[in-house]
This record gives sequence, C-alpha cells and structure tokens, in this order.
Amino acid sequence: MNPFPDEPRHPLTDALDAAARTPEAEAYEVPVELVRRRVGRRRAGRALGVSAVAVLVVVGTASALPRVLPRAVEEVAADAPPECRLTLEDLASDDGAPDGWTAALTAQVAGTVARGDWPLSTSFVLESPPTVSLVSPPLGWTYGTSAVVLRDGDVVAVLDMFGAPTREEASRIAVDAEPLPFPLVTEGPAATVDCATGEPVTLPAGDYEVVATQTVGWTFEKVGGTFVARATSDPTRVTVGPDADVTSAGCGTTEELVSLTDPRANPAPFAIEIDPPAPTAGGEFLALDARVVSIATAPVSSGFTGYGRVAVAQDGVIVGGESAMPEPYVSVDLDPGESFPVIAGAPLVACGTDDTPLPPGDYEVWVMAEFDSGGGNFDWRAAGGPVPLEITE
Amino acid sequence: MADADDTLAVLARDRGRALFGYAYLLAGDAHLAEDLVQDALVRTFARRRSGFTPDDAEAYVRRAILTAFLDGARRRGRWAAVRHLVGSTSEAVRDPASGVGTGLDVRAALATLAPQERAAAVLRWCEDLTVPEVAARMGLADGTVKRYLSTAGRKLEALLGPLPDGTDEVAPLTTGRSRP
Repeated sequence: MNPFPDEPRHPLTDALDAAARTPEAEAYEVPVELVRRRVGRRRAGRALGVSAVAVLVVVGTASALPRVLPRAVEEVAADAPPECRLTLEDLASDDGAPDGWTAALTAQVAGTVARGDWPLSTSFVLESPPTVSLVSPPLGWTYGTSAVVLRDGDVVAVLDMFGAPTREEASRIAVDAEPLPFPLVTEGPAATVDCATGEPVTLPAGDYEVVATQTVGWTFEKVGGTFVARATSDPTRVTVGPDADVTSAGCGTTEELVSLTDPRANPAPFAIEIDPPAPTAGGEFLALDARVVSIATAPVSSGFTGYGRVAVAQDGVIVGGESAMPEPYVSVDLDPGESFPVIAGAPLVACGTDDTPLPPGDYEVWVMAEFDSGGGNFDWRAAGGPVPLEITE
Repeated sequence: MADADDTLAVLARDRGRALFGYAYLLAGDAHLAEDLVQDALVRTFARRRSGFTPDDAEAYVRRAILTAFLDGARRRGRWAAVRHLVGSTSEAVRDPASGVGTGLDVRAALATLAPQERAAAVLRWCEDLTVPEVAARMGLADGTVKRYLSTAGRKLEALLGPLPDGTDEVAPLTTGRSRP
C-alpha cells in the first residue's frame, strides 16, 4: 500500500509487475516439454563442480580399455542416456589432444556407495610435448563429463552429468568458465540413471566399475589461443553396499549426524539451528526454518549452496529426507555467534520412494550442510538437530 | 512424477511470465532471463518433491533464479579477467548507460548497476524485502547489502528520482524530501 496516496508510486515499486507485462514477457512461454526432458536427465543429479580437491592421478589410456559390448537394444530404455548404447571403445573413440600434447583422465568414486548420489571425482592431466618450452602454463576448463557404470562388462547405468562433447563440438561451444591450472579436478555427487528404465536408480549391492570421459579446453595466459582435448579413464571399482543397509536401516542412521553436532569431534566452525516444525501430514512438503550459526571465536568466511540436506529419522534410523540443492554457491561471512538462513525442506515420504507418505507418528528432523573450508574444498560439515516432528494423517 | 509434472505445468502456465519478469529485471536481457527461468525450473524440479504446490515451487524457482544470476555474475566476473586470452567474445560490448535517456525506464536504470547491486536493489525496492531478508537471500552480511544498496540507491536516484519510502539505508542520500 502506498502510505502517501498523494504521491505517485515509484516505478521501482511496480517494476516486477511491469516486467511481467513487457512485450518480451507477453511473448514468453515456459518451454515445459524441454524443461521436462532436462528434469528427466538431471533428476536427483548434478553436474560436477570444480574443486581443488586432490585425488590420486593414475594415467590411463584408451588402448588399455577392455572391449565391452553394448547391451541388447531391447534392454535399454528409449529415453535412456545415449551413453547406455556405447561400448567403451565408442566412449574413447574421440580421445586425443592436438600437436603432440598428451591428455589423461583419472576417475575415482570414494569409498563404498550405499545409496543416493555417487561421489565421483576426476582429474584431467595435460602434458606438453617434450620438445616444447612453455612460456606460460596452460589454463583449462571442463566442457563436460560422461561416466558409465559397468557390471560384468555391461553398461548398466550412467552418472547423470553434463555429458562430454566431442572435440569438434567443444570447439564450437562458447566458454563461460574460469580457467584453472592443470590438473583439472572435478568433484561432486552424481545420480545413477538406469539404462533399462532411463530413471534414477539405486543400484543393487555388488561390485561395479566406472569409466569416465571428459572434454576440456585450455589457453595460455601470455599466448592465447584455444585448444581442446578429450580423454577416457581406466575403469575404477565401486562397491555398492548391501541392500540390508538400505532396506532394514532406512537410509542410514543418525550416528554421523550426532557426531557432527559435537564441536569437540567436528572441526567445522558452524552449527545449524532448526526451529521445531509444526505437525505436518505425511506426504506433504516440510519446510524448515533453519540457520547456520558461527561457533568460531573469530570471523569466518566460507561458502555453501545455501541449502541444507534434510533427514527425517525415527529411533536413530533415517527414514526420509532429501538431499540439498547442489548448484548455487553462497558466500558466508559470519562473526562469532552470527547466523544466516539455510534453506531446508523435504517431502515427508519414505526414502527411496517418490510418493509413499511417512506414516503418522513422532519423528525427529536433522539438517546437514557442507561448507567450503577454503579453495573450494567442501570438507566442513555441520548438522543441526534433532528437533521433534509430528507427522499426522 | 505426475504430481511434480502437474505442478510444473501449472506453475509454467500461471506464473511463467511473472518468473520471466523477475529474471528480466535481474538480468536486464530477455535471452538471459529465459535461460535463468529454464535453468531454475530444471534445478527445482530435478529434485523429486511430492506434495510440492505451485506456490512452494515458485518460491524455490525464484531463489534458484537469483542464485543462478548471482553465481553466473560471479563466474563471469572472474572469467572477464582472462577471457581476452581466449580470443573474441560472442557477447556484444554494451554501454550500460546507453539505454538511459529519452527511453528511461527502470530496466535501463537497473542496467547501470553491478550485478550484486542490481540484485540487492530488485529485492529491496521491487520485492519490498527488508535489508536482513535481502541479506539472507543473497547470502551476505547485512552491512554488505547496505553498502550495495547505498551505491545502487545513489545511481537509481540520479536516474529515477527519490527512491520509494521506507528506504532508510539510503535516506540520507535523498535531499530536500519531506514526509507529511
């Protein structure tokens, strides 16, 4: 309401409405089908984010790859990612680098995967020809990464990421990225997409292998120019934990969350506070009021996505919740005791399902977030909770 | 998937233009606004969200638009320092003040601001959020937001006249204005 009715409304006051009535807005329609297709590809997944985390680099070459035959076409869903239909030779067929340069990629999935997104890290190494004396080191960026999941020689799933373009395609892509020194390291969770259904999937327990292909570009600080290379990793083994970890214990236990709330055991300078939520019906979306609080004794600068991961638990077993939104990077500069909000929410459905409401009862809620400890290393983790939650009919 | 898809369809039909307008004010460019809206929708709906109403979704999408805009601006800012090394750029060089003149409007005025200033200004004076709310949305300290708003306020007042009432953080910048 304008408290000064005799004064004309300021144009900024009506700017949002006006912007929605511009000719551009009037002509605009959300490309719903395109969004649906992109959502289908990226559901529960994320593109890898660049970080400075070092991983063991083992040079692999395409020639070392075992030949893997594609699965029978009828076993691959029509809308499955195209990598489901590739052999490893196909995947590596465009590998190479110009003018005597050597490119190599290492892929690694840390630890045993229980469920949810896979923590894939890659390292792209670039070596100059031995006869070349560089005036300045190459600075590179990543165009995309494709990764397939193998079991018994079959491509059974792919990791949902921005796929690696061919070198020719990459040479035509406009770049909007910060060039970084080599090796180019990427790290982050990626969802597994089932080749048989085209949908995100929690793979059955067992041993798998991951092979990644990555396309990168680089330039030189003092010379300029743009160059493109692509490389495929050796297979790296991944173990998916037993189903019992998923079914009988829900989505894990709260043991780790409990430890994160202990400042004596957790070096992160943050804690997370959560306001107890109102009773909420099973299946409804639970929006939490949460905030990260600095427990440091001096000002601290960090960053995170702005979103927290929600865990709904009962008797120490996580039975529902949702991963954090992965993409944005929000800088946080907090004085001791200062706080700012964490966006946290989740549908109250059983974990591992899309729409099975959690039954009525008394639960507890946790929120966890990962923070940048410096240089893009998200190895500070903070948790808040438990706070009680009553789920109603 | 049906619930989320229906929510997407409803949101796109009923609020698509409003979301575009929000992105348009932030970005100042229609094509970039389209990209921001589309990317924000994908980010929001890529997470399965049963029981997600269009209102819930719109709040998430708006946040995603803002964070994508700020994140993109941050990356472009860092990239700008070295992008000349990669040769020509497809982005046309734009004089931010060129749109200000006889066709003066809010978007042209906002285009004179740096991305963070523009985001703060849109949230504060177009969305009518408080400074702490703006700070929370942008993930910044209150003081940082006040600094952005102070700078933005000076520029906007020079182009659009005194800012809306209740803008205490820049009130000293407005001289000769009296309230009843």
